[in-house]
Amino acid sequence: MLVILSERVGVVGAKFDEEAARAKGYDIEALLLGGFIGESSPTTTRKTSKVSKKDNPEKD
Amino acid sequence: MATSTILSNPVVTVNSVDLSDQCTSAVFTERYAELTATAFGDLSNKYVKGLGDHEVVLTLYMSYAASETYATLKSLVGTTTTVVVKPATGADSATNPGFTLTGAFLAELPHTFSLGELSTVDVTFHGGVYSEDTTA
Repeated sequence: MLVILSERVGVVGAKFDEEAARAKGYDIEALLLGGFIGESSPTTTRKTSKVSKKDNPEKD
Repeated sequence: MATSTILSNPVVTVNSVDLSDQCTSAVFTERYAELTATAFGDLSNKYVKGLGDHEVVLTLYMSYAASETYATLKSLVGTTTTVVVKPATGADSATNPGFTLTGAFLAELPHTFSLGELSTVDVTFHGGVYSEDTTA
C-alpha cells in the first residue's frame, strides 16, 4: 500500500489512492522517486512458536 | 472598476505536488489552432476551431532540497503529467475554477545559476487535455 510522505501531496501517513491518481494522469513513479509517497512498512508482528519438552522427546 | 484580484494567492500543483510556495508566476493558456474556413464570396477571413494546443508556464524557485521543486520535476522531464492552477485556496467552484491540463508534456528542465540571486526556473508543460473543474 502506498502512503503519503510529504505534506505537499496531502496528509502525511494517509493512504495514497494510486488508482485515482493514475486516472487523473499523475506519474506515480515520479512521486515515488521524489520521495513524496512510499510503500508503507509492514506492521504485523511475527508469531513466536513454543515447543514444550513433553512434545519434543528428542530433547530428553 | 476592477472586481477581481487575480492570482493573489493561487494554488499550483504539479503531478499532485503543491508547489504554490515555490511559484511566482503561472500562465495557463487555453489555445486552439484556427483553421481557415474562408470561401469565395466572403469579404473577411473566417476561422473554425482546430486541435487544442494548451500550455502552462510556471516560474518556480529552484530548490534542490527534499520534497521541493527539483524533487518534483526531475522525473517528469520527457513524460506527461497533470498540472492544476486555481486562483485561490479552497474548494473548486465556479468562482474558483481549477484550470487543469491532463497529459501535459514537460520537454526540458533548465538549471540556471546566478551569483547573488535565488535560482529560478521557467518550466513549460505543453499539450494535453484542458478542463476546468468547478465542483469540489
